[in-house]
Amino acid sequence: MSDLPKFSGTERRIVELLMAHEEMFGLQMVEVSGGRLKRGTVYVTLGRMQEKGYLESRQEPLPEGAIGLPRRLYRATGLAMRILAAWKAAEAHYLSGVHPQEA
Amino acid sequence: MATTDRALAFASRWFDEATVRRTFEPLIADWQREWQDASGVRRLWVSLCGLSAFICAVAISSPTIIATPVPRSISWRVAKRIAMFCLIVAGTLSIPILRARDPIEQDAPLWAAMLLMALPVAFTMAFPFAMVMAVDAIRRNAAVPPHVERAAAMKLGVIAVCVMLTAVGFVAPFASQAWRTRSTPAGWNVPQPRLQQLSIVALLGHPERDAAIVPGHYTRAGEIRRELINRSVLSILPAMFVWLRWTALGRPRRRFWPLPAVLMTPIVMVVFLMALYSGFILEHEWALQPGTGLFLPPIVFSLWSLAQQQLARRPWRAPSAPQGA
Repeated sequence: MSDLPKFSGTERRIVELLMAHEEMFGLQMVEVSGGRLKRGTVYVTLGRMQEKGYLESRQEPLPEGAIGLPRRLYRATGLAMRILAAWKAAEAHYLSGVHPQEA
Repeated sequence: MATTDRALAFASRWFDEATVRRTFEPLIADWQREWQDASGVRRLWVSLCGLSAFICAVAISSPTIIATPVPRSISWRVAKRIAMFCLIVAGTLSIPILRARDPIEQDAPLWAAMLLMALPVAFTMAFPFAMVMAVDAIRRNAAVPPHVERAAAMKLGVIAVCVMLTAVGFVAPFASQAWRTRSTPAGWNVPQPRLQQLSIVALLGHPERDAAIVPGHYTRAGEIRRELINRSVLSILPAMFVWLRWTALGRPRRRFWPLPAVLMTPIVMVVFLMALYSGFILEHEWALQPGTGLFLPPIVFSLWSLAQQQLARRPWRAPSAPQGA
């Protein structure tokens, strides 16, 4: 049980978003999440998720005339998708056990 | 966009390369693009949102600063400098204390006890000023990346404040009372601890602390307030001196600047004593609340550090060659 990778609510939301949209920028995730992801914390979470191997990223090629740093596009890895599937299955199993009459 | 450039420079100074690349660069890149796409008043809103997100990310990531490993050689050098400075200054300060009581020289155990109990008090007086030399041991080391230097300085400041809080809050009052008890002749009543001999916890929970304070008059509650402020100011002094020396070393080097630590330390000591004395005078002259004057030294050192920080930001221009040369 201790080997099961940790998966917070925010991480789950990010992976779900990335599975729905394939590739996204950090700010895009904040906008699409409808206030569930915060701009001040999302980049820290994205960084940690990359470290854990849940996400991979690439730099967007700078458009013509754009200045500043190139933006980073994120994509969920197979590992993140498998963990999400496992968590969803575990959740369904748990809920069916807690409320048998509702299942 | 100057704000984002500054934000990135700030992050690069405080965080390791991986954290900057994974967290701060994407945040700033999105912020820059949003700002470029916006126009007019919306740009101001984007700037504010970006800045608040950046501050939030810095706050969340700040534990990584404390977790940054500091090379053992630096830690060792810092500890050695602090120990040497404290030993010399505390030793020097203890001499008059020990020589002031001639009769005890006849009593070797009492003399030894006094030395043992005078040392914590002398240490609390010397320790904050050791920070000037300690910062030199961190910053004058070209082989260390800036974020490691800053992490080392931050850790030094935090640890020094904790040490000082323990020393002035508990150890020095206890040693002082122990000395008073030990030096009381046999058959005499052991003196009750005065406010100076009470721990911070005892002062905070003192039953007379809540009594009315009359500005300009030394009531018991006022004395407790003064004692608490005194100990708080002494506790934060090491962090202030770390900042002071840090900003001094951040300025571009010139012939007489930054002053060597051996010179700057006595200057800092003199300025501290002058500010302390001036604060005391002002408090009396203006009939301020007891202990208010004790805030003057931290104010003076904060202004000094801020001025140095501002000067460090300005590019230094070499004097131009005379015309026709």
